[in-house]
This record gives sequence, structure tokens and C-alpha cells, in this order.
Amino acid sequence: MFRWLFFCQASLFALALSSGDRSLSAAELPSRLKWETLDSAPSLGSPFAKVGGRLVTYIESFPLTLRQVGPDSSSSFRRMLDENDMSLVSLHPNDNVWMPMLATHWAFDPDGRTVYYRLNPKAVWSDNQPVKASDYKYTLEFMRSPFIQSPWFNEYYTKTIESIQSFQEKNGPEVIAVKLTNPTLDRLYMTNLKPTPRHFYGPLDNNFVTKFNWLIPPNVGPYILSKVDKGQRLVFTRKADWWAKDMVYFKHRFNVNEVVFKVVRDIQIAFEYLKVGEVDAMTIPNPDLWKPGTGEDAFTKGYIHKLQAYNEMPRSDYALILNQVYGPFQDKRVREALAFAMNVDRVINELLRDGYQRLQGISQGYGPYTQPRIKARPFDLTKADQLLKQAGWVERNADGIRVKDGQPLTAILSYSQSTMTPRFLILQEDARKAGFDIKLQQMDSAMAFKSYRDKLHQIAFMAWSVPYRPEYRSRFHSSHAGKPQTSNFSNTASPVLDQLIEEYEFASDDRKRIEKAHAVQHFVFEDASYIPLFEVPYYRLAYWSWIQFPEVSGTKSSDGLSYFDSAIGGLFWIDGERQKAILAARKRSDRVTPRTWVDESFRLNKAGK
Amino acid sequence: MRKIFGFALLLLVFSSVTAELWINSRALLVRHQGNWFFPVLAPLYPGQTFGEDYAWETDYRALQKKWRNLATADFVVLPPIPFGPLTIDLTLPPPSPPDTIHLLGTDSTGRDVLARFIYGFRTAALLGLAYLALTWLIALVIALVCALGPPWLDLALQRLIEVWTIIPFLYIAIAIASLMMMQKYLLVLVLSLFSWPNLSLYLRALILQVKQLEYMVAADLLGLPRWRIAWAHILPSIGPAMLSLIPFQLTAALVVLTSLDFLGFGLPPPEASWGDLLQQALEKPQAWWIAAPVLAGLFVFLTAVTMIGEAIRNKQNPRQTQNYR
Repeated sequence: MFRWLFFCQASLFALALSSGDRSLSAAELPSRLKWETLDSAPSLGSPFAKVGGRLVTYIESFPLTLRQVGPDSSSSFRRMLDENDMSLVSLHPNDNVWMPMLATHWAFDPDGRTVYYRLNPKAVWSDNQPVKASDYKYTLEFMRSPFIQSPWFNEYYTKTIESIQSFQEKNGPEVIAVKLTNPTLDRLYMTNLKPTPRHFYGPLDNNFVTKFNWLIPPNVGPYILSKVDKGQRLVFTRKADWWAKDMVYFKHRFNVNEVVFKVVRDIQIAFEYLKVGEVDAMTIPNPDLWKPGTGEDAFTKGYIHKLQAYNEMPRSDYALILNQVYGPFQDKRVREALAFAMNVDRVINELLRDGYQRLQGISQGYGPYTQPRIKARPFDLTKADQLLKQAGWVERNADGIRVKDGQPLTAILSYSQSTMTPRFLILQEDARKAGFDIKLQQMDSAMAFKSYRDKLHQIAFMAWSVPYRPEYRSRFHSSHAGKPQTSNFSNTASPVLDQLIEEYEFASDDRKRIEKAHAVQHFVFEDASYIPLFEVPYYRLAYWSWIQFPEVSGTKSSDGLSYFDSAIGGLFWIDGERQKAILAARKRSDRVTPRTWVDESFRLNKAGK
Repeated sequence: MRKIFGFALLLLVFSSVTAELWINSRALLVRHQGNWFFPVLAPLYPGQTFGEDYAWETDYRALQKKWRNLATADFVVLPPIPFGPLTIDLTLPPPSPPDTIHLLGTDSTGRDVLARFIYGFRTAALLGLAYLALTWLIALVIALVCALGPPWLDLALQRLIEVWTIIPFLYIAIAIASLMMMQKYLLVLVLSLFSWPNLSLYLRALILQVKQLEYMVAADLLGLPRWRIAWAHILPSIGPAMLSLIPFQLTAALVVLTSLDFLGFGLPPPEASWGDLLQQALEKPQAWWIAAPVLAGLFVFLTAVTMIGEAIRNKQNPRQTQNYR
């Protein structure tokens, strides 16, 4: 998810152009730029990797368009197209350092908001046109255009990026300078754009949305979408003469010739397809599918292997959010008591039983930005009782629910995912012991989100998307409290917190920024409006065993099988001989060695569990 | 065959009416320090009542175990199946297959499937009856007004009914469930508000038919008031036709309630319902024991009630011969 968001954002940055700047020759590159690069990033691929083969996986619905912007474009499939674009630089998934991609070098301007990129002259589009500085400028023009019908992109590219200038180095490659509207410590991240093929889109007009619905745009990544069977399947083909194939970081990667996305509308059905070999690999998010089946199947016979790989990346703030405006929750002691009355460990240990972990607080998995000393409040009915008594909730009614001034201590928990129901039922049962009457309300997801944004909820359940850096303003700043259509779901409003958030956002160096991030997390913990629930520190795959992985199967930032991503994708390969052997064994119904392996390379607190 | 289904239906009704006595997490009888308690009849006894150190509802199973080991004079009499529809038992990873403790296994939250099946049926049947009463009331009143009122009112109401029937019921139910907590009375209200039109059209036709009969014309000529005609002459004559409709409507109500719960827009969790069990079964197809009782229950209930309906209809109109055997 993180990776995907990262790419969404990177792609936002990537398509920009300052239309006012036409003075290409007149611009002079500042002379004292300190160019930086990284040429030591080793490939994550395996030297044993073999090129070739075909992998079939599935998507749950056929995309409504192949456009990556505009109406209907935010399908899960867009991730595949986005991953096949590349940006100027990329963050190393394990070492957290920047690597050259479409740019070979970068340099920072002392103004704190401009980054210069020296473009790789070898980079070409899939239609063999060179990637030029003008393609980056076009990104800005494209993303700001009203014709793409993406208000979010329009606003983002207008608000974040001020301009893009291009330069021609003497006898050298082109250089672009991306200037942000505000100085930031994450300059490289914020200016890391993707080029947009000007020669393909040309001048935009009213017909953009319909005209480009099903046209495949040229890209610079390792694969190209080569076949579109509407409603059925989409096929990506490896570019045999990909311009970046000799870059060290890409060695032994992107090995499979074809990746096929077949439309299978339901995960249960996809799982059956996997078992009969119609699908070669899939992620298994569902514990029921992970548990061994009862009879003999392709798993017990060893044809399909299973992998559980730990990762180490920012976690979603998967939490119950208490609306501080709602009667009982105006009292901090009641919020704290509710946190103490949530038996999350029972859900983890007795219901899920599956290596889930308690999420300790907000902003988990952000390395130094995570305050490690904050621990979620444990299930403790004595403490809950004390706090509630202090808050005046002493009496209980005939149903065992606490009452104060004739009002019962009750709150509605709104959520949209039916899979959460069993978990919440257990929390509900144990909260009753503390005298809380938690009512569950399952809503349609769009309705739920709207009611949260309009602050109509009492307790909201939300899994926040994961930004590159912790983001606090929209969720905790008082300017977003008490107003509809904002994301401050807890209605937190505190001048102290506002101050911390501002200091965090405008910190002059990383040390200060980290300090402020910790302070914000501490405040949010003390404020007790967020009850953190679970995190899943791994992802799980099931795959026909001719698919092979390097010794370390993924990266710190992997969250599934990644096919095309320039930072983490394409590490696997297909062993053709093994494929023949397995298929022959299946014909004879022979057994081969079954395997369920756990890759703990990136497991945090190995001993902690 | 009819007898078998009739017996099964009776058994289902009887066992759900008496559910608290044989399948329930509350004890039937507790003797503590010389005092007698009947928790099954009381709202809630906190643990402190029986010398425990907690203020929430007594865990009678734990209490029974404890007192047995202490060999005191105190004792607890539990129902034969000591689990209620909301009791969560996570001793085995849920959903666990049928065993001697949970005769029909547990659902995906560790609750006893048999308990949820029985209590779910009772809720659905009661809601179904309430729905029938309300729907009939609305439909009958409107039908009488249409048939006996002035012609222009009839015309206007007919057009209104046509418009009303176009509104898709399911979407409205989903919207309401998203806007507010679905309560039992609300569910009945929404269901009824969308079910009366067809019934009232049918009743209106029946009444118009009866209206043409000579004794009706006579009653009119005698100057009897409208309400008297409706009450004393129309209702008795359309009564049998109405009666034969009821069983079919009851089955329809059960199916609609189950479907709404199945879609997640019926009664809020943790309420026990058949639809909820079916929904869980869909998410965990390997746990056959969750769906099996509901499917069997639906089959028995629908068949038995349909047979009853046919019997009533045949009594009223002996020429009708299309029957389930």
C-alpha cells in the first residue's frame, strides 16, 4: 500500500510543466551545484534467476479505463500501470537512500525548495522516442489541466510545485530544475516527478477523457501493457531491449516474459483457480485460506508453495477514533477508560490466532519518526473502573451498563468492513464488563466515510492510508475540528497540539522534526481519542512452485508479489524445467516436497513475539 | 408428508418459544448462602451477588465449576445447553465444527450456532408477525377507502400507489440502515411501508367484487353507514380470501428479513438472525455447519407454511387442486 501510494504521489509530482517558461537557451544552470548520485546500490535480484516464462495472476474487476488520471481511474489495476512508469529517482526499499532512475544525478539549490536533476540521456519511451526535459514540463501542464477532470491532481500540482525549468548542459545531458512552492526537508521526495509523453497526448482538449479511455500510453518501465481483452484479461509483456536493463540495480530482475492479469471476481473463486493451476500466484490476506485444507490438494502434494514474508514499513493507523464532541467522550477519563476496556489482545490471541500484533500507537513503522516508548493501553478493567468512577459513572442499570444522570454509557461504533464484525463483537462483549454499551453499526463504505467526515459518528473505525512521512495537520489540527468535510475525525482541538504540528511541519532539520513527531504522538496518546488496534507485519503468498525467489524473497517495503515496481518489483523468476517436472508430477498425481516458508529477514522484534 | 413438516414446524416454534429454558447462558436456578435465585427470569445479576469480585454479569458456567470444586452447599443449575446466542466461546478457534459441547459448532465469532439458529428464528418469526399485522392494517384501510370512498379519491390513491411501488425497497432499506441504527421496529416499519401496495390492490379488487352483490346494494339502500357496511358485511365476506394469503406472506417476510440480514443491512450485530448465519457461511464456505441448519430450517419452515396455506385455500375453494404433496 505504501509503495503504491508513494507511486501515486510520485506520479503526481511527475507530470508538471511551467507553461510560462519557454526561454530554454536563456536559462543558465547555477555553476556551483553539488551533484549527488548513488552507484553502489546492489541488485536485489538473484544471480540464479532465469529469463522467460509466463505468470498468471488475477484482479477482482476489470478496470473501467486505462487512463491513470480522471474519472474512474482509481482502480486497483492502475497500480500496475503506475508501477510501469518510472520517476526521476527512487528510494531504496531496504536502505532508505535515494537511487538514480530517470535522472543520473541530483543537486539541491540553497533556496531549500529547488532540486536539479541531470536526466539520463538513454531513457526512451516504449515507442522509442527519447525521454526529454519537455516531458517533465509537460507533466505539470498535464496535471494542472482542467481537461483531465482530476481536481485532486489539479490542486496538488498547483499547490506543491511552482515551476519546472529545463537546461542544456554544455556537451552534456539535459537538466531540469523542479521548484516547490514551499521549502521542505523532503525536497527529493516532493520533486520526484514522472515524465508524461507529450508526443502521445499532445495539446489537451475536452475530449481527453473519452479519447484516452482505452489507449495504451507509452511508458519507460520494464513492461508494457500489450493485450487488453475487455472484461477478461490484461497482459503485460517484458521489453526485451529495455533501456535500463543494464543498470546495476535492475540486474537479474524483471525476468518473466509475460504477466497476465485475469479477471476473477471473488477471492474464494481465485483460490480455487489457483488450486487447479489457472492462476499461478496470489496473495492470501485471509487466514482461512492460509490454514491447510482438510483433504489432499495441490498444497499437500507440494505443487503449490506458501510464503509468509515479514516486512518493515509504515503501518496504517488502524484505529478506533472517538469523537470528542460526543457527550460521554468529552471527558478524557471516559476515553481512557474505553481504551482500557478494549480487549484487543483477546481478539489477537483467541480469534485471529495468526501473528497479528497490537498496534502500539499512531505513526508506527516510520523508523526514527516513531516514538518507541508509546505503548497502547492494555485491557485493564480495574483501571477502567477507577477512571469511570472518577468521571461520575458509578451506577449500573439492570443490564449492567453504567448510568449517569439517567443516561446510559453507550456509543455507536460505525464501520464498513464485514470482516471486522467478529473482532468488534469480542471488543463489545468485554467492554460490557466495564459497563460500556458499544453498539455496532455496519455501513456501506462510502456512507461510512461521509458520516465520519461530517462528524456524525461516535466511534469511527478507520484504516488510514500511509503517507511517506507522518501527516498530522488534517487529522489533528484544530482548524479541521468541528467542521464537516474534514478528516479530524476525533474533533481534537488543542492550541498545544496545533503548535506542535506547525513546528513539525516547518522544522529546519530532521532531528527537530523527529522530536516534534514524537511530541505529537505523545500528545495523541495522552489525549486518548485513538485506540490503536492491529497490525499485520507480514504478507502471504501462495504460488505454483516453479516460481522462484531470491534467498531474501522481498524487501522491507514489499507487501505482496510486486511485478513491475522499479524499487521492489520483479525479483522472482520462473524455472521452466521445474515447471515441466511439476506438471508431469501432477499428471501422474505424484507428490513433491510441500513447502511453507517464513522469510523473517525483515521481521522486527523477532524475539518479542 | 404434511404431518412430518407440520410436526417439524411445531417443534421449531415450540423450541424457540421455550428457548431460554434449555439453551441459554443464564442459569435456571442458583442457590447461594441459603437464598434462591432464578437468573433466567431476572434481568441481570452481577457477579458480586454470588460473592464474585466483579460487577458485570455473572459467568454461570465458571461459577458452577468453581462451586463444584469447593464442595459447598451452593449450586447452579444450568440449562442443558449453557450458551446463549451472544455467548462467545473461544476455547477452540472459531468457527469450530460440531462437537459434544456445541452441537452445531460455533460461528466465526465463537458463538453457538444452535443457539443463534433458535433465537434467530424466534426474532424473525415475531418480526414477521408484527410485519403482517402492520402491512394488513395499512393495506386494508387504504383498500376500503379506495373501494368505498369517492371515485376521485380512488383514482388519486391508485396513481399514488403506482408511484410508490416504483421505489426500490432494497435501496431504501440500505440507505436507512446506513443513516441510522436499524432497530427492530424500524425494520418492520420499512418493510411494511413497502409491502402494502400490492396487497391493497388485491383487497380493493375483492371489495369491489363484493360491493356488487345484492345484499350489499340492499345494505346501501337501507342507508347503513359506510363503516358499518365495511365492518359487518365486507370484512366477513372477504375474510377467508385474506386468511389464505397470510401464510404465503409470512414466508415472504421471513425470506426478506433473512436477505436483509444477509446483506448486512438488517438488524445490527450481535442480534441473532438466520441471515447473519448465511452471511458468515458465505465468507467461510468451509464451515458447512453454519449454513446447514439455516438452509434446513428455511426448507422446513417454507414448506410447512406453504402447505398450511394450501390447506386453507383448498378448504375455501375445493376446486383448486394444485398442491405440494
